[in-house]
Amino acid sequence: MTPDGQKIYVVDDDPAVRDSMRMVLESYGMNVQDYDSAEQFLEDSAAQEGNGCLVLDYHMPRMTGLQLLDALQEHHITLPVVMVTGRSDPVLKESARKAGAAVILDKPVSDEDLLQAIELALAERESAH
Amino acid sequence: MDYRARFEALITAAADGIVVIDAAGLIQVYNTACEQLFGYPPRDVVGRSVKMLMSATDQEKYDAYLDSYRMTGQHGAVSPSLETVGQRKDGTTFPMHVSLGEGQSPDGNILVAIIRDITERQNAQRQTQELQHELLHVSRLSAMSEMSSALAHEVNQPLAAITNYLRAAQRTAVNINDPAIVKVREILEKTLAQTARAGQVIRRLRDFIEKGETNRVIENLNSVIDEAMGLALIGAGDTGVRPQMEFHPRAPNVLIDKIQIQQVVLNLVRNSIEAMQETETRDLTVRTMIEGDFAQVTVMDTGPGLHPDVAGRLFQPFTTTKGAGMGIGLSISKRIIESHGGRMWATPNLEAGVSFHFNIPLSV
Repeated sequence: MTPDGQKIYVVDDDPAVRDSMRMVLESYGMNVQDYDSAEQFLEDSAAQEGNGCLVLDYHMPRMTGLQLLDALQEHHITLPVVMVTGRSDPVLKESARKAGAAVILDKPVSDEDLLQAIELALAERESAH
Repeated sequence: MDYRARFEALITAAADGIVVIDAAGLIQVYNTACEQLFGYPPRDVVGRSVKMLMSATDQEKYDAYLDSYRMTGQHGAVSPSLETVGQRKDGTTFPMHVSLGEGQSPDGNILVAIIRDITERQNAQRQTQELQHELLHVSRLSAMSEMSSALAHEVNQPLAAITNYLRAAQRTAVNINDPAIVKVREILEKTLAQTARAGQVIRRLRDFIEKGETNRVIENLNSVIDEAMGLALIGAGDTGVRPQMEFHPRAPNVLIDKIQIQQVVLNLVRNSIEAMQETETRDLTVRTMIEGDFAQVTVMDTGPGLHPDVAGRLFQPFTTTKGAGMGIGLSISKRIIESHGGRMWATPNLEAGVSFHFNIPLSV
C-alpha cells in the first residue's frame, strides 16, 4: 500500500505497458496516475509538487525519460524517480543516475522489483528530508 | 616504304600480341609482343597450327569448330572479342583478351587476332571483389543486428504488458478458493512462466547483438582509411567528384576491427558522393586528425547539406532521404563507432555541405 496521499506517476508512451503497469500497481493497493508522454507530465504541475514517485520509461519519442529528468532538475523538482530502460547500457545508466533517478531497472521488470524500487526511491526521499 | 614494309613495322612495334592465321589455321604472322606472351621464338611457330598457343580446352573447341567448317563449308559466326586462356611454351597458362578480325589476302581468307595478357587486371578485379564481398557480408550482418535490436525492443513492449496484466490478474484472483478460480490461477502461473521464457529469448538475442563478435587489431588509421577510400571511389570517376585526402603525419594507431571501420568510411563517402550529385561543386575531403586521446576522421562534402527534417534523427534507424535503401547505414555506423569507444556526429560546413566526424581512442 502506498502511504497516505502518495501517488505513483507512470510515464510511458506505450498504452498497453502503461495500462498494465497501472493495473499491477493498483493490485498492490497503490494510487496511480498515468501519462502518455514526458510533455504531458510536465504540464501537470500539481503532480510535480505532489507527494509520490515517478516511474519513467526511458525510450520515448520526442522527449526521452532522460530529457524529462533534466527538465525536472532545471525546475528544482525533487520527485523520487524510478527509470525503466529497454537496454542495459551502462553509459545511459550513469547519465540517469546523475540526472536524479534513484533506481534504474532493465525491462522486462518483475512486479516485485518494481515495488522494491518504488519503496527504495520513496525511502531515499524521506531520508533526504 | 611500301605498304608491306609499313605493315610489318606496325606489327613489330605493337604492344599487343598479333597473330595472323590462314584458312587452314596455320600461323602466318607472329609478332615480337607474342614472343613475350607465349615464350616461343617465331621460327617455332610460323607455319604451324595455331592450336599450340591454346589451352587444352580451347584446342578441343577449336577442333570441333574446324570439323564443322569442313563438313558444312560454313564459318560459324566469329565473335569479335573474347576472354580465354592462352598456353605458353613451358605449358603454363594465362588469361588473355583476344580481338578477332576476318580479312582477305591474295592467298585466301585470313583471321587476325590481337592478344593481351589480362592476368593483372583479373587479379585486381578478384581482390576488389573479395573485399567487396567481405564488406557486403559485414554490412548484411550489421543490418541484421540493427533490425534484430529494433525487433527485440518492439517485442519486449507487448511482452512487458502481458506480464503485467497476468500478474495483475493473478493478484486480483488471490485468496478466492472457488475451484474454477484455483484452476485459472494455475493457468495464469503457467502462462507467466511461458512469458518469462519468451523474455529470456529476447534478452539472449539482445546480449548477443550487443556483444557481437569483432576482431580487433592495432592498425594505422591512415592506411585503413586510404584502403577504404580506394573502394569507395570505385565507379566514382563518372560522378565528377574530386576527392582529396589529408592524413595526419603522425599516423594514428588505433585498436579496431578494420573491416567495420572501413564499412563506416565507405558508408559516409558513398553518402557524400550521392548527396553531391545535385550540386555544381563536388569536393570530397577526407581528413584524419589527432585530438587529445582520440584519432578523429572527418568526411566533408560540398553537397546540399542536411535537410532540417532529417537532421534531428540522422542516426536513428529507418531515416532516409534516398529513394533506395533502408536508412540504417548511419545508425549502424554510429553503433560501430560507439562499440569502439568513440563518438559520431555531423556538423554543417560554413560554405556548403556537411561534415561527418567520428573519433576512436588512440591506442597506446
